[in-house]
Amino acid sequence: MKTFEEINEKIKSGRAVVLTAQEVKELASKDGIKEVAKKVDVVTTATFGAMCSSGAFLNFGHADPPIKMSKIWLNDVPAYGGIAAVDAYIGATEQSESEGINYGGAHVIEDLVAGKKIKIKAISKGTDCYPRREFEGFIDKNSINQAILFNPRNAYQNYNAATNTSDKILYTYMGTLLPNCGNVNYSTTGELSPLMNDPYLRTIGVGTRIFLGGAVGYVAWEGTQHNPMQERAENGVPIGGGATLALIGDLKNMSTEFLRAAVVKGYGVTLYVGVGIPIPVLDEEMARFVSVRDEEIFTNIIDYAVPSRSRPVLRRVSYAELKSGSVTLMGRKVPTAPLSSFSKSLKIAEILKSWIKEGKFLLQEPVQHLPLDRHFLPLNETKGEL
Amino acid sequence: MQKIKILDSKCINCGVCTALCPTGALVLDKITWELKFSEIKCINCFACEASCPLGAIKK
Repeated sequence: MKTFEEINEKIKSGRAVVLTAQEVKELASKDGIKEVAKKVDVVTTATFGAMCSSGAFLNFGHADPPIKMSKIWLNDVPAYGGIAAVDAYIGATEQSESEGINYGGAHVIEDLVAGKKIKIKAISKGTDCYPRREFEGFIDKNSINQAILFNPRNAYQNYNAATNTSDKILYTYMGTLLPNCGNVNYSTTGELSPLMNDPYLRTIGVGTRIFLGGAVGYVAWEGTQHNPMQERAENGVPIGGGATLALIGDLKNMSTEFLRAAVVKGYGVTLYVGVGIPIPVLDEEMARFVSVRDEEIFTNIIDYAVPSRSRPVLRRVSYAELKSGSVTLMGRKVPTAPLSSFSKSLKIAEILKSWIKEGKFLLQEPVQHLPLDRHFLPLNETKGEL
Repeated sequence: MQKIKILDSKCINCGVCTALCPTGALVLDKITWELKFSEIKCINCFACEASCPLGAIKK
């Protein structure tokens, strides 16, 4: 049994044993769970995937004469201006009014991180205290007060895999789905992914210090659509969408290597976000959790041809099978492909490991645990009061 | 004959293109998880080009 404090003392003195998620699984296969509990202090987990529910709060500072910006465009992408006078939220999936799907909020965020100049246009009705009605100019990350990445839903614990039984090609947020179950796409990094390695969120909660987009970030809250009541396998890992995290960090310190805009054909703009989370091996139970393998993590292959929020499950599949490059579906071998980048995830896990080993990054015990009793509620059409 | 080009500066090695490639010209290395392209196997169908969310595959 170890505590966060004891592990942090070992990190400070350079004695902490830190392994990546990939390394710890190899150790567990070789020496067993008890040895992992005894030898390992921290496991670095990571994912680098498309996370649509992302965006950034920006504060531009005041113009002279000042303006209470009510409608704002950044490189022609609308940003939400209903927050005070010169605050805005640029959402990753918002699309350009002139370029449509080819450029969006995620591109604005990536361009800001890259240090590029962004054209700003704002309008207002004007008030006595904020008389100006229009503003046009340019900003970059150094000219504005704050650029805070705040992503309401990142790092899904698990997620469905997608296929298409129809005779038409489908363009979805799960990528291009070929007709007649021509492919299966899946989104998480399986055994490398943070919340797969701490299924009951024992060590990850409000205040957890993390790697976010190449910089230090924090878990702010449970993510939207947090669904810890999802069906679980015996090892505790949910089968399909489970817990989610709301993440926060200073955009100005981030890197375009780990924060990348993307366009999913026929669907829209999204942001690839790099997330790395350190998991302390507090005891034998945590050692067992971080030793979970792709063979023991399952998800459902869902038919996206059915236009319903309750799409049919075609079969249950392990991540080992998904990562093999093909699955058997309806008696046929069907190619599979990930939407997340495993190679980038491995790199993030290595970087986080080096930060900890160098004593630059200490573990933060959650100041509050995330709820495990939330249900995922649907939106029903109602006439009149609920 | 025109072949696809993988732009290393844009490719994140997600591999979402691999399941759309009918000839196995695009595959993920199972050790490094990096994208491998075989020009010999490529039949220039360009199914991969539009599927790349990062715009990393060009004609």
